[in-house]
Amino acid sequence: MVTHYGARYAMGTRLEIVAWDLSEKAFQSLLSEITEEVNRIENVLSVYSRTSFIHNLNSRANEKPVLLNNEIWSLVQNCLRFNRKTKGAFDITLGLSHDLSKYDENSNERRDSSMSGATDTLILDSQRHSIQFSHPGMSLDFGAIGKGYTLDKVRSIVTSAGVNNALINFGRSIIYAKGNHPSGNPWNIGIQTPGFASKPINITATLDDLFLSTSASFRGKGTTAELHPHIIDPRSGAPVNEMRQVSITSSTGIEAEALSTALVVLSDTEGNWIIKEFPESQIVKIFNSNALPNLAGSSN
Amino acid sequence: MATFANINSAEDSAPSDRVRIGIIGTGSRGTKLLLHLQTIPGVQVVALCDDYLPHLNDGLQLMESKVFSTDKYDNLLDRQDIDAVVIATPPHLHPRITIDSLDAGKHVFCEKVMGLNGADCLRMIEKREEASRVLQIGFQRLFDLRYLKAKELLKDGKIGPVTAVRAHWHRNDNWRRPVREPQHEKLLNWRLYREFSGGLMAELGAHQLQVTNWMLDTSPVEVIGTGGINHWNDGRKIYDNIHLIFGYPDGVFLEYSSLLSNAYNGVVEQFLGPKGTLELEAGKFYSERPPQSPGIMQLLEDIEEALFRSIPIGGASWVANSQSQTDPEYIIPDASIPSATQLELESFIQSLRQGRYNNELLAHALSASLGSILGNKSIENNSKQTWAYGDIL
Repeated sequence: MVTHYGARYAMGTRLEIVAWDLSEKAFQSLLSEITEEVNRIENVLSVYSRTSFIHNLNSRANEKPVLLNNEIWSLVQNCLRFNRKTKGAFDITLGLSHDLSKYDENSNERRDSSMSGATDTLILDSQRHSIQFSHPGMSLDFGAIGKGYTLDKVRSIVTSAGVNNALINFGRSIIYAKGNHPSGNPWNIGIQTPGFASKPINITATLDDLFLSTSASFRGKGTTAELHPHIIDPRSGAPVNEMRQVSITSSTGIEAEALSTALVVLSDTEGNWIIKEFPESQIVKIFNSNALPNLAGSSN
Repeated sequence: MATFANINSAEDSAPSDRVRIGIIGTGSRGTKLLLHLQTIPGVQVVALCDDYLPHLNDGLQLMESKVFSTDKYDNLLDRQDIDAVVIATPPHLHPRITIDSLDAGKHVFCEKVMGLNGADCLRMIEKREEASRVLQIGFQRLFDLRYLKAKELLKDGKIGPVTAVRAHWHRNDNWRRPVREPQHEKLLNWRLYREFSGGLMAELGAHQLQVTNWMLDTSPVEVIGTGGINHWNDGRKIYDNIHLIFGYPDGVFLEYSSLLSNAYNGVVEQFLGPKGTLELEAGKFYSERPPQSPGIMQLLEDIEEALFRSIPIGGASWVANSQSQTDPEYIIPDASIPSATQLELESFIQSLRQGRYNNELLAHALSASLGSILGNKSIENNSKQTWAYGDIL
């Protein structure tokens, strides 16, 4: 019995699909449908594409309300819910997103601690389904949950196609698995931290119709072994300088990603408390400074 | 890596084996060849010839000592102290001078293309066999490390089967040289005249046609093309833009264009296949699909061996180096590679020294030269040309 494999470049990373117990033709068809949907979403949400809907929205919503279709309206509502329930640790209005490569210490886009988050700065009209920014310099960035959101759609495609056993790896940071490994055992995912590649993996998560998301406060760049700060705390506008890596499992991709991102920003204690607000999700592991190698440039 | 180069090996020849060269045609290309030749140990340039005095003087100025010079190549060929000639004249003269040189018992390195009509090209081949001397034509990409590496990659199935080829040579200049005296117009601007030049197809396209033939291991079976003058309307007859499609066996087509009014696309040779794209001039490979992540690779191997263990794919995100779809891979990592022109000349010299002759090189030269002749014919007649003997002659 053949195990199928397909991969595509998408959203700046690699999307890999492994599935078995279906014909080659069915797999190709599945791959085709998934590719189409992933591309569609990328064209809507990508801040890197000058022709995406979000890019367009970001250039207009400062001046006047922009009408949103049902999909984006729901997405925004969902993200605001995460924003409130994580006490602002997850925020799509962070102009620089959570991508530190765009962070400029001297930029006046830096939020000061008195500034409010998404919940307060987005003007929403629930009758018209429109959105407007309350002040200049704002923008929406779905980068933190874009892949999770996409995998939620991919999960529907997999289900509709009648595929019972599949593993989907989207750039490592979000993974979905359903059914079993061909051996009959459940899909068992090993979680790694950089610098520990040679050590045995002792943290695993079993996924059956579940999503696993991992976020870290640091990131390797390209092939360099050096690690760089990667996530901004929306509440302060400054990068998280502590070494933290969080893995969350959840029944939806978007929630898995929102929480893994938020819990990098929150302390262990805060994180353990907030997770209770999300019965569909669980913390697999939080790694913090004590367990991890030094950040490049950190004083630790 | 398999090459055409006759690399000098200590056992085969003494580096002091002297080779005396006469250069016929010391214009812009000829002087470049002269400079390359001067760097090859044991090579002595002993005679220069050009029928345009300023160019002859250009050549003489590059010499360290005084050498024989003439405006008539027969005088050069009469000399007994010449082993080989390097011909860098306008292409309409290539056949006659090559044949005369072979007749005079000299080995010949002749710039591309072989000639401007099929019959001439074939006569050159015949004469070479008769004279039993080395005849090498200046298609230097056959020695270029980027192309040799690309050939290897194609053979290894790096892009899968080649399903299409795109090539072009786009420049933004009028090809016209300033002429002080009107009687020198045709001498200096030979490129712009049908009698002397095969235009964009022979001057530029022939190289890329040669590359395509080589990569595909075959020759075209038909060509259809068109062209015109739509920018440099200065009375020239050579077209300033040409567009052709060469059809190869197995249904592969080369889409080719060359023009003088825009340089945005530059010089490109792209080989397209289901697994990826090879850009030869740029020395790059683009995958159609991303490489497998190590964790998934391990998973798939484990499944093959009926092994079950955890799949090490969880972790902070893997990000491609750039936001662009794919990152090109450089097919030769070191940016500095030897000049292909240097390599082709060194190989020519070694061929003489070792009395070894490479038929394959000449076969490539012939098919590229004939291809450009047929391409031009197609453009002229506005009709499809096929590789039938009648068409060639």
